Amino acid sequence: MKISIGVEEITIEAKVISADGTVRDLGIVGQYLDTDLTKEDLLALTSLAEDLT
Amino acid sequence: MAAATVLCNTGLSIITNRIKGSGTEPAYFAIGTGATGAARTAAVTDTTLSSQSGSRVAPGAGVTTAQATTDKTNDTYRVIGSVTAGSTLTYDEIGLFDASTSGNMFVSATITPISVIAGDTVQFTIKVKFAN
Repeated sequence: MKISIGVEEITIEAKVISADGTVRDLGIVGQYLDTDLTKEDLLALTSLAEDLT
Repeated sequence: MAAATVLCNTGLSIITNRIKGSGTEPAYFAIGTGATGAARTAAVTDTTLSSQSGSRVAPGAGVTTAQATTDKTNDTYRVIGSVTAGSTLTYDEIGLFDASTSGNMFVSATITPISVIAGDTVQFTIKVKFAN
């Protein structure tokens, strides 16, 4: 049995709050995923798999 | 510069130190503006930012940390930090450290550039999720 413990994901989210209180939500500005695939790739593959089943 | 986010080699020491019950929490937050100019992409060998903007933000002075749950109970270390720009800037790098100066770098990131003007406050939420 393979045992693997480690950092699976790091996400950095940001929002800018202007002096007048306006909030600009920038979402994810930095990300690490423990895979060669991006989250968008994984979502696309999931969608494809759903289409095929 | 490319966008990248990494757990630094020195971050591994922080983790094993903390498991052993020693070391300091990597709750000191730094932001910088020099990654693009230095053509630097975050790498596991990083120990500092290219050009840190201001001082690192310390726990209790603009940074809060917590254990959080993403998939399994307390599988995520979360840091929320805020900085207020004193002038027009473009932030492009972020780091987490275990000290207010020097110390060890836990996470290094070269990010999607964020342009701000004086008076803008940028709030960052950094989540490090562990899995087995």
